[in-house]
Amino acid sequence: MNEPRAKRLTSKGYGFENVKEPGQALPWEHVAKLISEARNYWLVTATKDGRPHAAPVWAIWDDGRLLFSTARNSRKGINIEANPRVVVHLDHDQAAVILDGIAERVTDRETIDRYARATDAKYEWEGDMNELLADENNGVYVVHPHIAYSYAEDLGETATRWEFPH
Amino acid sequence: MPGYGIAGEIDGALPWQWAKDVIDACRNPALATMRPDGRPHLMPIWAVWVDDHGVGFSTAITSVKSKNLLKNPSAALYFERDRDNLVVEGTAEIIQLDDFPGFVDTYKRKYEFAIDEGPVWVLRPTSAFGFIETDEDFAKTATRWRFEG
Repeated sequence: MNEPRAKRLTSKGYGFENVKEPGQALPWEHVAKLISEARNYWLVTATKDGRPHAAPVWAIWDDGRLLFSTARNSRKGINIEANPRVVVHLDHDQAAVILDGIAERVTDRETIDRYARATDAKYEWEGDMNELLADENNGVYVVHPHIAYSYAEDLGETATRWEFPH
Repeated sequence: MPGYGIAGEIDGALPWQWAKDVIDACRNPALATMRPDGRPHLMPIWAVWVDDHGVGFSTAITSVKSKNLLKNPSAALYFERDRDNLVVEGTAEIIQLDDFPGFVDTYKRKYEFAIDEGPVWVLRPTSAFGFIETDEDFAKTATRWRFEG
């Protein structure tokens, strides 16, 4: 998978300059696990007239990219169609992760099937994702992260900017 | 209905007091803004609700958040409390502490942190959306509030 490179954050006043080895206190392996195990993901998209829109989604971490589904005519779906730049945020008790990336609709059958199976297994919900996705008004979307930020309670020790090779 | 803090129109089940409780209970809400190049930006912040005004928060005027808001004041803030989810959308403006009664006290009570110097930001809400995430309650609890400016 795409293993990102750890960088030091540059914001002033948080002690980031004291981080000796970026990515060491909270390694990517652990961050990926947090992303994978989160339940709700906040998806931030941009409306056509330039306002941010935030909504929670369920999602699956699929080997370095995030898969989720939504109605194609939802605000999320409409926004992504016009502007694919998105931010995804997840918050654990122990740490938070922010993904900055590009979203696009998935049309490849194999990925859609994998997403449906993984969602039913992860969320143990009463519905059936395949059935939901049989409705062509619903779409599966993938977020390719370009940059990720992660940090735990001890911000100055753990905050890391991750850059993905693209 | 004059001012902020009272929903002008409610199409749902949750009372606005529920939303205020969620804001109060959520220690680390997140603020979404727009970068000038059209990319959304997101950063967790500390924030409190102040009746008749909106959501108050403080950030350095040199931060990305502030720079974005100075160019484009549209913003969204979201809050979580267990399975309770709330999004507040609106327009942010800079406000002096003297014009923002209640902010410093509320902030101190919530975060045990005294803000003694302004200005700070206030998000004047235009709409809010809340729901409780459980299998059976979603449709029943999903509530949209609209605010009159």
